[in-house]
Amino acid sequence: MKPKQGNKFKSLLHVRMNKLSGYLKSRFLRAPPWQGNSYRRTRKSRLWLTFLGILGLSLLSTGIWLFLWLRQTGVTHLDSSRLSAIIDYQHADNTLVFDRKGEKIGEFYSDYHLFLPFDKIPPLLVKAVLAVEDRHFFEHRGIDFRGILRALFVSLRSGSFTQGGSTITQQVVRNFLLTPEKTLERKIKEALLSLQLERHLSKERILEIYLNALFLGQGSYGVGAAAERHFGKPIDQLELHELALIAGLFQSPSRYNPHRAPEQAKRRQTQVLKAMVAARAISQSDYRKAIKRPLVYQSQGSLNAAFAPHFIDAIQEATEKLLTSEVKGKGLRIYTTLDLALQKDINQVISDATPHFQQVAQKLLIKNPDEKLIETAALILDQKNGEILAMIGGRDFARSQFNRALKAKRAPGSAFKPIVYAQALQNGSKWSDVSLVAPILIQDYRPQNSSGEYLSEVTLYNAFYRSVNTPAVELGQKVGLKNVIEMAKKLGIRTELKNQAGTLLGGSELTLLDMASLYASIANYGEAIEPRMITQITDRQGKVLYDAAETPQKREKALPPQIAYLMIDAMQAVFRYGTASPYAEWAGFAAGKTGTSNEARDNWFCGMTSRLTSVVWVGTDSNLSFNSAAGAHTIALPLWIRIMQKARQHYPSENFPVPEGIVKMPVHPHFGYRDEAGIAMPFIEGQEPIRYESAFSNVRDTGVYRDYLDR
Amino acid sequence: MKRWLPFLLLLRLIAPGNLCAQNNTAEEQSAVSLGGAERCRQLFRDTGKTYQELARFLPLNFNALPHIATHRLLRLKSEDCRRPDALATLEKALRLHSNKIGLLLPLSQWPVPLRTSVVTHINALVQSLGGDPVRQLLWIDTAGTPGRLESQLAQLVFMHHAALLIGGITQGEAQILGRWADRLQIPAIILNRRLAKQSSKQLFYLGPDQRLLASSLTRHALSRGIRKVAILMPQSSRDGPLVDHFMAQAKHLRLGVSGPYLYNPHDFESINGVLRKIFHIDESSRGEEQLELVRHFKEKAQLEGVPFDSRQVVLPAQIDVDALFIVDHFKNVRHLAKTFAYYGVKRLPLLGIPKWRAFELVDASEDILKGSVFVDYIGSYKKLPYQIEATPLGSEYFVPSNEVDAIDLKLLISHAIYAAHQALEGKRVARPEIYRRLEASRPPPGDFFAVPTIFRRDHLSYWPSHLFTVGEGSIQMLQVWNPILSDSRQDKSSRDR
Repeated sequence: MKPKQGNKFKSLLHVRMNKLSGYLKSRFLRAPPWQGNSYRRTRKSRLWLTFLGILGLSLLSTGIWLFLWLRQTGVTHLDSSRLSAIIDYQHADNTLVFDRKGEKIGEFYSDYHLFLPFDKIPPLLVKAVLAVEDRHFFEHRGIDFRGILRALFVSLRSGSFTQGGSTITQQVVRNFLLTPEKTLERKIKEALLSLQLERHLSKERILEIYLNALFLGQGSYGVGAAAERHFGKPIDQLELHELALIAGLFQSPSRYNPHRAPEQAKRRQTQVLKAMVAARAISQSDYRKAIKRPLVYQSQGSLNAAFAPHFIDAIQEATEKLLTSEVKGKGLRIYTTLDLALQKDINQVISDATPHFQQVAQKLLIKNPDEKLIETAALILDQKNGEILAMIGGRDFARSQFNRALKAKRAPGSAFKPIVYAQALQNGSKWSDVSLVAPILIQDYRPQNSSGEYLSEVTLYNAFYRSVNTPAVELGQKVGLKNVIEMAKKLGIRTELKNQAGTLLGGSELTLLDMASLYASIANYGEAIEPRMITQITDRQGKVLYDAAETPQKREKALPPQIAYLMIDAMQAVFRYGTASPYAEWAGFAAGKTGTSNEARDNWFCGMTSRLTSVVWVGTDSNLSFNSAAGAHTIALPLWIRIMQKARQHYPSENFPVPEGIVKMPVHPHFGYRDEAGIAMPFIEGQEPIRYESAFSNVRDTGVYRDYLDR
Repeated sequence: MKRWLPFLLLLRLIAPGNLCAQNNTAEEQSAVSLGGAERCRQLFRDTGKTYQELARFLPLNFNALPHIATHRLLRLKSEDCRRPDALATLEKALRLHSNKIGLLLPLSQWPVPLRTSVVTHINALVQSLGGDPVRQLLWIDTAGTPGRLESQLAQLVFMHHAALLIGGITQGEAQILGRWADRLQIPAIILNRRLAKQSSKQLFYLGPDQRLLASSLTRHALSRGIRKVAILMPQSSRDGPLVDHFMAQAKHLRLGVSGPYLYNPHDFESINGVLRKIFHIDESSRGEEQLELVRHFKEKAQLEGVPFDSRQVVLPAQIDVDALFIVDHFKNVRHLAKTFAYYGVKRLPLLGIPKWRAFELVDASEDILKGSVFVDYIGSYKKLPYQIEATPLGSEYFVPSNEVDAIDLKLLISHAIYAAHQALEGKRVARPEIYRRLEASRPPPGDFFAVPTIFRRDHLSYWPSHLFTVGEGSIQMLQVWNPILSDSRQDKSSRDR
């Protein structure tokens, strides 16, 4: 229970007033002097009495006036409850974002705070601050009369108020409770509150608050934040000459802001160092050395922009959505799925890929193409739980903060086809089914084959890994666009798909996240996953506000594992024989699919290993067309390979496990019959082809059919 | 004659394969009665010289034996007819045969499994007919080279004294074989259609009846109310005769025909060009329509926020024929059918040829093919004669593709062998008379041929025509056109799966 400070103060005043009235009674109410002394003495006494009377009246009226004035200003009502803002002070704190291993990767704040407990503050800094701000801090009780006199003396000598006599306690009181105006009223309040504050808080605590709470320029609050904002490094790495500057900022952070006024800052630093010498905090020799040291100012780059800027942005948005509140400066601890080490490697890949982007830019159908026009986005996630491990939202966050990984809606082209094929396989189609490659009309849509290939026959397997368009459209037409769209939803696509035939060939725009969900769901053997970025959110005390583990994902069985495996295997064939065959050696452990939209405006590679799913997009923000030689296989695939080379170092993978009920056998890639010289295709047991020949094959071998008679 | 009698007796004893003809025929007797020298000269001019011509193709090391009539014939001259024995030598040479069948086939041109399958089957057939294939059959591989054929023919005549020749499965061989067999007066079953200007009592033509196949189609077309047919045909097709018959009969039946529109089956643009022509896609008179469509697609693109793609603008097909006759194999038919659909042609009767018949025609086929009709020279594979075995594929109307050619060849050659066997069995006749027996030869009992004789009076073979309709994943037999019966008889018993 806190003492009632207000009442105590009142009683103290009452006692003092009683004492004063007693003195006046004893002085003026005793017997008059003429009753026993000489006249001169009596006259003198009268004069004296008159003077005293006038003086007394003046003092009384002054006292009354002062009392009334103080009463009016509120000083008489000052009680220690007003100090609660300081006593109960909770330091402001940034919301911090951590990667999956607990590394800090971002922070959200309005003002930049970095709380340091007193014992973590460098002692030299404490000495510097005390030397320049309050040399007798540990000796006075809130007000330093010597300091006031010194300040008065200095002010009188200089003819202006150049030096304040406020103690650190007074500064704390002023900053927390009072206005900065220079009035007597404020000074009295400040003094009285300081005296009270000293009775409630230890010197160390007052100093801790002072060093952490005060604005020190560049948006920073506290010495820790100032160290990072002015020198770009943590405070424990600062040296004397730098600490001196930090200490000097308390007087006027704006005037001495080294970024804006480096010369004034230097002068201030010198003052501090001199004060330190005077306070015997440092030696003359230390002073001389420190004064010679150059001050190198460097604002620490925003942590948010350092590793995964687009991801951090997305985290902020996601957290605000989850908690339905602002996150800046709330001191939240957000634990994310990001793997910082992996993210750094992927950042490096993107940055090293500039020559690739330059080459890509040359394929743009514009005059003088600029490499900066080429943008990219990438997502890597763990298909077992949907956790996003790395995210590239664009090539340069400084240039464009737009998150292409989550926000951009682009046409996925053939990368959409797995949905069509998955639906068809589920409906009973087999990879060995033969499709004739011919022009096709669906509704009033006439899709084209990229190579203009017609008059050939392909198995669905072959059509898939070579990404021939017309068989996919034909299949989509057979299974029904509606069912394909339904399957897309089941597999994790959240963006609304157009109910148009073009959707079958990926004409309906989707986000990278949609595509990542789709491929991860397949890689997860048909169990649909929800991508996620946040595992837990706590407040600064560790109270859990959100826990992903407590909000289990809806795990829909979108596909039977066997069908999912059929898709994975066919995507391995994309590497082995198809559009990714320049990287055929990847077929042993990777699966994927290229996607190129019309005129190669969008170039995708979506793929997976047994551990990770990764999606890469390359294109331009303004939807520019590329020449006919360009496509996902030359634009997006090489980048995907480089990314996954790095990713595999962090998450080694093996070949995909084959679920029960799958048989593989060599089948002719074009005509779908069992052929020892063919390629291995997977089938659901019982659905494997039974024929060992095909009339198509006869025609291809001989050019004729049933042509022995009448020749 | 008395002078030659001991020699003849000796020859009869030592001649390989019992070379001697059994009896003098009435023709020979009449020839003798004509007057020896004249008859001899005529025979020498008509036939003897041909033997001598053929002998030029004999190997250089060929050793002519004086006791063999055909060999002695080689030294005979027209002036020798003044000699009394000349005519006899000549006549004996022509009569002489070993009762063996010379089978001239391009065996080495066939894939080994096909060749083996055919040879094994024919040997087995001969055996089942009570013959000895080793003694009775002379397998000659022509290797598809006509130059080689004459040499082989010479060996068959002069060294093996073949009684009857079977061959000519290719046009080139048929021409050479037909020419020589006629002039040599050796009966020959040509496994092909009759070529122009080839007519001889010694030549028999055995194979599917192109005219009947064509007429099955034209009559069916008429029965369906079809009035005009466009013919689509690949360049360098070997089915020209069938098309010729179709056109001739269509003309006769007043069925309108346009085309044939020829295309390169390996070039999509060529096919596309022909179809655009048939469907009047690019006709200049449709300019207004084209502009309207362009405007429509531009508006649509704008509405959808996508760039206008001129490739999407295709005028709908204008169809002024009632049916298309596609003279191509199933694979190209399916590609064509898909291209029809691309031009929005969803319903148009299609007519086809035996090359349509493959399981792959109906396996996941295009809608437009359903209801189409094609003809074939084989009905149910379950009812094949000559113990030809077939593995049904899905239904009795399909077999695996690797059996299709073997079945066609086995059927054809077996039919020829069956005729030849009848001609040579029983009492031996002189070679020039064998043709009479061929004329009278009968097909095996059963439904397949269902005709009284294998050959018609004009020496072409009777061969039925079967009309099939394409259904959902299957085909059904519509009609069997028997070459003898005036009306077709519908086979209601056979239905595919």
